[in-house]
Amino acid sequence: MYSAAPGGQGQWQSQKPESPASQVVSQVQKSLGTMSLEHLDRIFSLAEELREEEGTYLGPKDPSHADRSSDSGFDLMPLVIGGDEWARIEAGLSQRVRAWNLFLRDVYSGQEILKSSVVPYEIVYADPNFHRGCARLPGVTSSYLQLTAFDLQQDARGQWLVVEDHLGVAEGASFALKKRQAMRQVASHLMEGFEVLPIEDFSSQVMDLLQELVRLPDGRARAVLLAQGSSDEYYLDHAALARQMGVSIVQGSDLVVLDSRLFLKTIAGVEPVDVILRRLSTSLLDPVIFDPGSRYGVPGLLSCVRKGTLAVANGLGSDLANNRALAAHLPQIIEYYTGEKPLLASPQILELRDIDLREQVADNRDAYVIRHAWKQGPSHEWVLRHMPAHDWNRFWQEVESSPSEYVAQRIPTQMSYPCWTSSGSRSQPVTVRAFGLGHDRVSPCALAWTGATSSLALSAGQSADRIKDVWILRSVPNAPTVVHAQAEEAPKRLRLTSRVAESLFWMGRYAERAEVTTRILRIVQTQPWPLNDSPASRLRQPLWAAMAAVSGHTPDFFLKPIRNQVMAREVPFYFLLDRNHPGSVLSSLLSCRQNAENIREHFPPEVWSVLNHLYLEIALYAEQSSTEQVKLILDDRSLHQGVISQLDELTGALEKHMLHNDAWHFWQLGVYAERSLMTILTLKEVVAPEIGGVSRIGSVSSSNLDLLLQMLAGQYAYRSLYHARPVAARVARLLLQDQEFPRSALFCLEGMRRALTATLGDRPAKGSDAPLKHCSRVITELNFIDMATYFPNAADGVSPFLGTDDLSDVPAPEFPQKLSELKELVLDFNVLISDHYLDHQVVFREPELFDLSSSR
Amino acid sequence: MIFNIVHTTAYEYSAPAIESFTELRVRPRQHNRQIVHHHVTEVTPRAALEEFTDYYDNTVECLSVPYRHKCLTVTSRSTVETLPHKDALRGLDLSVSEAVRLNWPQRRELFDFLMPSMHAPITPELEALAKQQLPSSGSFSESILGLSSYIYETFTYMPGVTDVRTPLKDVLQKRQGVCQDFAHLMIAIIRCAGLPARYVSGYLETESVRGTDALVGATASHAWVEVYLPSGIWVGIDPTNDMLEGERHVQIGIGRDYHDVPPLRGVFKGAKRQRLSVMVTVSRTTGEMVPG
Repeated sequence: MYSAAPGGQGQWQSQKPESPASQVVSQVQKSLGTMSLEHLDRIFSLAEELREEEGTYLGPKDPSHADRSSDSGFDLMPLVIGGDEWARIEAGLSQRVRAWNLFLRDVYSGQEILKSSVVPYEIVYADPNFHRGCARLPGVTSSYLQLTAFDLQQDARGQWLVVEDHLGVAEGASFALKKRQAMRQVASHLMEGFEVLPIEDFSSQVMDLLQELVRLPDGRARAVLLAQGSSDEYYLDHAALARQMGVSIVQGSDLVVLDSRLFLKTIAGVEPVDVILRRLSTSLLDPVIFDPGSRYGVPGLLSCVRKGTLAVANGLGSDLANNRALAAHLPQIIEYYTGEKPLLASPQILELRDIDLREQVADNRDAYVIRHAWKQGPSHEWVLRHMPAHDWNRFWQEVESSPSEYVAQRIPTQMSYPCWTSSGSRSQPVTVRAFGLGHDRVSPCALAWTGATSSLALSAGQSADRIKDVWILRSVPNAPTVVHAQAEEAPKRLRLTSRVAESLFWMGRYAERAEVTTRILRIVQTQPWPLNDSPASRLRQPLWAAMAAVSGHTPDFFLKPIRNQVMAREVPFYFLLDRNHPGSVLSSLLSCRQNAENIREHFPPEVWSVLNHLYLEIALYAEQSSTEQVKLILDDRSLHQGVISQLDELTGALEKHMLHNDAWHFWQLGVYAERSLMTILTLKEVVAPEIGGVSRIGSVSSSNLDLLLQMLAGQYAYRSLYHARPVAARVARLLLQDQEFPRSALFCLEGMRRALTATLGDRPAKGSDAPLKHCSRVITELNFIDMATYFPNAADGVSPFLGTDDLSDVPAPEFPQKLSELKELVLDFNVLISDHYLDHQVVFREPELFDLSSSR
Repeated sequence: MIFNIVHTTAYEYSAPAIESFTELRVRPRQHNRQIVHHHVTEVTPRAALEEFTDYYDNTVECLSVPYRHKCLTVTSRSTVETLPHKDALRGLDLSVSEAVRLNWPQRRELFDFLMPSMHAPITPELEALAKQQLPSSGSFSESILGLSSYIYETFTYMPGVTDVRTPLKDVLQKRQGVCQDFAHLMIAIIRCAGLPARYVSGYLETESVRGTDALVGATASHAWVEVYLPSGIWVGIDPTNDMLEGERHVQIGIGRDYHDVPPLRGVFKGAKRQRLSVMVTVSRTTGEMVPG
């Protein structure tokens, strides 16, 4: 058992200067030292650019909260571990995995180790992660541990110590892959000439472990990665791993249990799932068996495992092995199951249920860190040296009242490693996280980070800059590279899950709504206030009605001064920046961003970055809406212009960076569905208004038609077709029936039809094409509208290029009714999409628990 | 005695529910004082039942109804024969502290029933009650029976005042509750004294038959307590009726507390609310089987 000797920090360089690793380190240092300042600057700015492109790949989701003060930039200096040294680490960690696996198997069946008192049974029975519901589960008896992680530190004498075991869920590997990728991009020459083990096949090795776990006789098992979603601080790691493995990242609500079989809900129906790589603790997986409050699990998941139709990695209940009081007994556990002595040491763990140890810690508390036995994370670790005296007394009382829940560890004296950042060279202690694959391998894909004195969880506030590339040297130089033989696989096409399709659909709708609202506002806000008693005001009333209609109000919203509080000068704020108005541009962008945030892994970072930037900017303006600067850009409409061009940028980013796959099609569906609706609503208010079901048609002024075209970005289109001032019949035809104008209802419906056809494929399943049929029906309706019947006074019908200026512009009384019908048809489409691809049955709600509460 | 037991639970949802998943613990246990002659569980709408044995050896049946449904009805029919109980407490010459000490060799096996649990926590208030009711020098048998009488006399059986989520703290304050609360209370106090106690979910013949007394707990399933004797026997005590478990008690399952053996637990999506109705009949028979 190791306990750190007092004294200063060791220096990496001083250790065994002749070792291959230290030779590599000095060579890298030398090449860095000989680089010109310009060269280094270029490298660091390239690294910064990469980071910007990636977004914050390890860090808070909202850049405004990023705490970069402790960062000093991209670290170019790798952590180098020699091949022989790594082999010893691998042997030691594999021994741990094997021992823990046998332990879990035993504890969830015969409990022999507890009966023979090698491990105090109290630790196991009192740990909430010992799930009695997982005992004697068939299916998991062979192997509990597929992907594991271990945090290692090197003490002052250079001995590697395992400071933490992660046996339930092992996270963070994608950060190592990203760092390696970045290193190759900015400074590939540093690596030249060294035999560094490749790490890129990490995800395929994990996939192989999952396949081994299921071993389907007739082909590959269908795997999914089950995670909590964007609220998890490791979400980006989950998403990256799923992407590299080529499996869907799903949440509990994506899955459903039917007859002891697990299914994934997709836009093409439900698909069976054979194996889950879980990124959730066991207690969250099945609300019927474990934590009934869990919103992330799948009711009945355990019944699938019990029936043997589903495998879960890591095995259900393996979270128990994270218990730090158990870890105190690891040497005995290893010896009990394998007959061996531990190959790798750990810092000594003191169990505070022992009163003598408690006294020892209390008397000498500066030297210790106290940790909760089973709760994870920085909020369950207490460095006593940093604790004020009054906090200490309260804290210690808590420890004494349930001492078996706490362990203490002496704060180790760590070795420091060279770092090389833009602020220069310095030495820092480093923690390495190594990933175990199955029972006998450790991946060379290891993660290292600087600055933490203990293995505090690598949590969200930490930035990518703290990550070091880890180079594991090949033990026999020049040995042939053992490349994991990977058959050339056809690129994976995963069926889009219903939840993701729904989010994309709504992203499209909200983005489009924001655009139309901004466009209409830009025109309307300069028009005379509709309540003024002047001919000009009355003339423009239809435009105000259109503004109201597209943002969820009744058309007469502006004509009821007592009921609404919106005054003329507040209009721009109300429609653009008002958080409390669900129809405002800010609210639409917020909803768009929320939908995007939930499915961030389904579109490229470029898209997220545009959308996020747009939202944050508008949100900032909303906060500062009382300042003169914001008032000014609201008044002179430069804010509007900015929003429109950024939304154009968003569309462009989607167009260019997204695969034009099912996800893309659902985004398009949303955009077109919303746009057709907006076009119809706007046209109706300006050309053929109704109030209370009574049409109020009359001659439409040419200037209003001109403004209508401006509101819907149709001026250019109209002028290209007709070389004359706008007339109602022609405007109506352009907005409803034109095949080339991207805002016409027909164009949108055709777009929807294309998207649906592409999604459904050549042979849609029976009944699944109802939305497509509906779409075709609306297209037929649109094509059959004969404008001549709705504008009977237009002498020549509406044939172009006549240029007659005195066509009468009064539509027939049936026209408003026709537009209402069209509106309803478009709205029906939303319901059909929902029923067929998204909900499969009815709208989701959170699962509810019911309990028989009337036992008497 | 032989009983025919019919236990019907019906859920009516405020709107159609989907993807419901339910676990049932309604099959009576088989042990040396209780023989299950017949058991069948029927579910409407139709759904396949999957059966397994849980950590405490209770039989669990589970079912999933993936499609839309407005109500879910579960009817379990059992024919159970109970045998007379020997009074294991009688003639036991043992103090509370001796019992604690004698149990020590079995501490690992008993640990689950010694630790506080979700519905039976250890609090200073309960510890004080344990000191008072189960003094370490007091006679084990007398103290345990005394505790049952204490609960029976101090607390009023009053349906509707508490539900599953009511903590013991509130029960202590209100001095009212149902069998479940009294069982949890008794378990918590016994555990505070360092003795193992467990929760029994079951049925009770409540009607007065041929001169026997009518018992409390009529409308639904019943709950009581088992306490461990150093001789290796669990003795059943029913604090709601202040009596030892007898031939009129039928056990379904055992656990640390209610949370381990709810007759029915499940999850569904769709509806906001549900209405629950439970009907239990326990009737004596001559031993003829009732066709399922």
